[in-house]
Amino acid sequence: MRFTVLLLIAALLFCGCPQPPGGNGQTGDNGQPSQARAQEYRFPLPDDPLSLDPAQITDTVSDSVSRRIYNTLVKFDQYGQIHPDIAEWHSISEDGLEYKFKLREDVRFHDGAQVTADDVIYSYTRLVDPSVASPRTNLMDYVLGAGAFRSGESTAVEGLVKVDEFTVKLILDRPYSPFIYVLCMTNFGVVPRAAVERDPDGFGDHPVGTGPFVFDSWQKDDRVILKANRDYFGTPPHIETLTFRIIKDEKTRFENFKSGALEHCDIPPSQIKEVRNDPELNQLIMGEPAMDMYCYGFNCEQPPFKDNALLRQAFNHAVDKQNIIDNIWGGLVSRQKTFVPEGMMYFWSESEGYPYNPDLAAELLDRAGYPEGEGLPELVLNIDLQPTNKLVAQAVQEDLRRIGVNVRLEVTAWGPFLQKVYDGEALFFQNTWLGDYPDPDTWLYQLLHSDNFGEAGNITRWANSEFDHLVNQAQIETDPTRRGELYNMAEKIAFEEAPWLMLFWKNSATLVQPYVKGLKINRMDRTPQLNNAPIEEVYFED
Amino acid sequence: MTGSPQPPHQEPAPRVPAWRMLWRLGFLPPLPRYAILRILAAIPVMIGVTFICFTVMSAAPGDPVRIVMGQHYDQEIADQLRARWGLDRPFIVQYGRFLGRVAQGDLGRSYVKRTDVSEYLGDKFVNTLLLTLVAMCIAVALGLVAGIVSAAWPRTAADYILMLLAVGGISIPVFWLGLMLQLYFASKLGWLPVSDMSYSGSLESLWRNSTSYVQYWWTAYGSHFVLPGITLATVPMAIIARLTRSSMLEVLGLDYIKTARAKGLSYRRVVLVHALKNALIPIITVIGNNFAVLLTGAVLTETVFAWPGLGRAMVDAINQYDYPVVMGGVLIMAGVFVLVNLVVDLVYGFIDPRVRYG
Amino acid sequence: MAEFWKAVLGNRAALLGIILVAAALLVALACQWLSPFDPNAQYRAYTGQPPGTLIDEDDAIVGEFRLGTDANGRDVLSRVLYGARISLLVGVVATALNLLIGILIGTLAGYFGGWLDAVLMRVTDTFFAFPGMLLAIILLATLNQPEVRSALVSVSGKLDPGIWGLFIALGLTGWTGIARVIRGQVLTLKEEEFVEAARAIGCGHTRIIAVHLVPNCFAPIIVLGTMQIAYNILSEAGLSFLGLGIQPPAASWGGMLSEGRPYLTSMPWWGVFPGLALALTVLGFNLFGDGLRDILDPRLKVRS
Repeated sequence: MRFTVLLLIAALLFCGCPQPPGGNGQTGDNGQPSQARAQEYRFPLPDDPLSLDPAQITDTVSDSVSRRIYNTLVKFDQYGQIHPDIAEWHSISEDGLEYKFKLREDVRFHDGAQVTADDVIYSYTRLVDPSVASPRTNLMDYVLGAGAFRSGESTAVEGLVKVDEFTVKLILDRPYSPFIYVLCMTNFGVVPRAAVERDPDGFGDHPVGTGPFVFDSWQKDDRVILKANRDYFGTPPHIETLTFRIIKDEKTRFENFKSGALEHCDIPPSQIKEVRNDPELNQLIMGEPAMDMYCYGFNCEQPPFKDNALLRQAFNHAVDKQNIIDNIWGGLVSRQKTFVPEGMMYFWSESEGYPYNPDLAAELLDRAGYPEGEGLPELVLNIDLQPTNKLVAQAVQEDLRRIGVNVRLEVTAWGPFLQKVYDGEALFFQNTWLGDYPDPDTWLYQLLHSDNFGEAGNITRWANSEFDHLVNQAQIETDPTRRGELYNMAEKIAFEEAPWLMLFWKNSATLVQPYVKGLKINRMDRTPQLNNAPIEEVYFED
Repeated sequence: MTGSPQPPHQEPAPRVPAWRMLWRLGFLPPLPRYAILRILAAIPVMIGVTFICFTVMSAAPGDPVRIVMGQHYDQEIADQLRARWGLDRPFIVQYGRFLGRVAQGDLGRSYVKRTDVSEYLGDKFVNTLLLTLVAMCIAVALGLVAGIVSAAWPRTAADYILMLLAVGGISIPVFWLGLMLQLYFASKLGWLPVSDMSYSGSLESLWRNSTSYVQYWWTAYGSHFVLPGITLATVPMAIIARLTRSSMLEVLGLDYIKTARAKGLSYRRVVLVHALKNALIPIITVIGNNFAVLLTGAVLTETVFAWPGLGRAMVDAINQYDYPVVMGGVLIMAGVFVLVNLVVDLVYGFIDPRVRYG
Repeated sequence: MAEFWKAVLGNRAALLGIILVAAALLVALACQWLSPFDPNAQYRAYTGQPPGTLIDEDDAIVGEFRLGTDANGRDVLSRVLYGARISLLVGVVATALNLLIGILIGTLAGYFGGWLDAVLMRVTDTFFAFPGMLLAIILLATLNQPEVRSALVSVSGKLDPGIWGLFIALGLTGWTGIARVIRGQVLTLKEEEFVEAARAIGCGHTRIIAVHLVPNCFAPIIVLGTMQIAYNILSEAGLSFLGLGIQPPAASWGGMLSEGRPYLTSMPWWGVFPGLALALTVLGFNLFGDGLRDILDPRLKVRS
């Protein structure tokens, strides 16, 4: 009796519920409900962003979301060409020390306030403000007076000059050619002073910017929702909502794409065969060899790798890269032969890289002082939890074993893993490096210069004074040809010394739904973050 | 993860309670007194749990400050953060501060997520709770039926098959079963969603494109509970089935059953009405125990199906050395576990007259 | 004794259990001779091959990958066989530790009673309140530090040093049920006449416990032990699946499931077979334990 009553109540509840419009609402020509495609772009992310505050961004995921919320003074396109963003024009002085930017007068923050030179200066000053504790504070090192402000000696950064309401001048303390590219990084996004000062700690969770998308909500570990900015100073986005879906497992992202729940996704190596064999999916691949470096690093500050270039070269020759490319990555990567990638200026096209040659490797090992691996201390290879990384590591381990070197694997979660690497505790480790801006400097200076030990970029802690000298000179060199020569010479040195076990350039191969148009994948992008792809230009067309 | 045989949690009243308490409580009727004493006994357990957890986590060399700062680690700023989080104080002081905050209801802030632990875990807990309820319903329904059928017709083919399935149920690795189900029903056949708790896309557009409320609800929420629910239900279902069978068999062997049969009552009536009531008593405790264990230990199922629940959040937090989340999570889980067991014991005490007046 | 074996053989389920357990033990001990290939050998030309692939060298069939290969070209069958060694080793050692701690605490609590009982039972409750594998996971996060693992490499021989972490983590967390049951047994036993008699003739506490009480708990100990082995084997697989137990490239069933998971649609044999092996082994122990319980002590039947 009671049971039937409950059943009736349940039925009533269901019937009393509002009917979805698809049921008795608009009907199409043949009586079927019209399937209007929602103007929502569902964007996958492999992890939860850490912060949406430009001063706190260090990872590609946070960068991906923030890129759509903020603008910088200038931006670069898929060919590495600089275009105006907030600054409608800019000029660089002859000596390379003064950068002048004239701002547009129609840029507004999402809360309505107009953007002026004060906001730009405020945003940049934040990067060196000790109370903000920005991890990217060293990006401002080139600006005159940054160090003084940081240490408290002065109350403002000397190199940030307000010329008038809409004009800003940046003065560097030494010429630095890539600086204009550095300014495109999201860390230099312009933020509203009022909003930040209202809630300094919480700004990263409730960002306010000027960009094509406005922050709406963020459910941690689930999704970040952005809405289109109808008042955007550029072309407003065609889509209404940009939802970042945080899906940590690569296979889950793929399955969601297949079932139509995502607009694009990365191709997990485990699925590459399936994708290639499927005629429909095969059509949907976009992207090309990217500038995303995947390789293993040697700790050059500790034995046995310290001062032993022959040993490092031996390791380089010992690994069968083609095997990993074919069998584990399914052709989604290409062999790395240089530090500066193809497509970048000053690319060293003649380089052969380190071809697979176990005999040569054994010989080099011998000359390095460890015949057949004797005398080598125990080597520990540090990797993180990603399944593909584990497979690659096991292949490398086997290759090294064949020349007599025994390596033990240590798998750690990403956070603690990074800590070990930055501390210089990891002896032999895996890492990836995505260029921050389209200039060889990001590979040669950030990655290999002795100024940048540890988290600044040079995690192998390799130091070579000749290399340093060449790169320093190249940075202040204004003549492009001479600059190219200097960089090439420096790169050859780095190549010979082999502080990294060069493996691959990752491919930004992305699966994109057929109705998505206007998505421009940049070679500097990592997938699925697609940091540099302008989503405001994307539209749907069936 | 319950393959381990645990006897029901029967906690006798403490032998030597504080005399004051006893005096005050001596006037209360037995059941509330039992309840209050049990709750009081639970407090040292909770403290013990957090203490063990704190000790072990502190022994781990991971440094949360370094991990949060990641790249561009700066000594000065790190020191500031350390001071702000109280990580530079000695171990006992840190633990004391933690307890103090908990007493005020504050579980702290996550290092990594920068949200309040209670808010962050609260959501996850609700997600796990929903899944557990669904799983428990399935487990109880199917388990009871299987056990009753087995006991009513013992040593028949049905009995052997069901009991073999039950043993299989507690033997099968939960995550493997989940993977297999996911492989067939979600990936290959596409009948059910692969992962997650709710529809991946925009609910608005789904609403617009649905033809009925039921269809919308199913695609948005309902279908996501099926595979993880079945996976999670497998072990408790098997346990309940086995226990029901043995309990029913015991009761069916009693004299009063024979009397009822002699009186001419149908076998079905005897089984369902007379035997089941009494057989259920020990089963209730086990149901409660399993519920609590599921609630707090569904890590593997959540991992396989990317369920945004408490188990997974805890594993992530442990890997990232996010101390506040780990401590808060352990506190919540242990608290729930103790609470559910308490409720179960009270119910048990209520329905079993032997305990009530004992 | 003969009656015991007759009873066991009569119970078909228990018989099946014994066969499975014996098979698992055999594989664990003899995997070096049983497995056709080295579990870590990578056959680069044969990655991701389905079961039954033949190795073809100079047009002669040299061998066969009975269960296929994984993405690194390693033979799945060999890895499954070696995985048995790890699973059983962890199962047995962790259970031994569980029994040691559980019996100790259970007898002390039951025999001495009073405040010792209360304290020990509180401690047991505390460990019991840790849900599922959570304490094990927390312990493993600490024990799997690279420094710790490096220190243990020399002692581990050919096994992955993570196995010590598993011994400790599982050993220290699974004893609560055993302690409770033993305590119950001791509580009952200590009222028996033979205990009184022993005390009368002047036996010390230790002697009474060691010689009279514990051996009389033989039945529940054996049954609980068997079920606990099953539980620990499942736990080890679960922990390795989460990446917290045995690290690559060591072959372990949980680890293989974790590695094979992204490839489940393209190389299902990689994930299906270790899971099957795991299920059968655990089934064997559970059936065996059930059978033992039916024979030795029907009183234990109600609560499982």
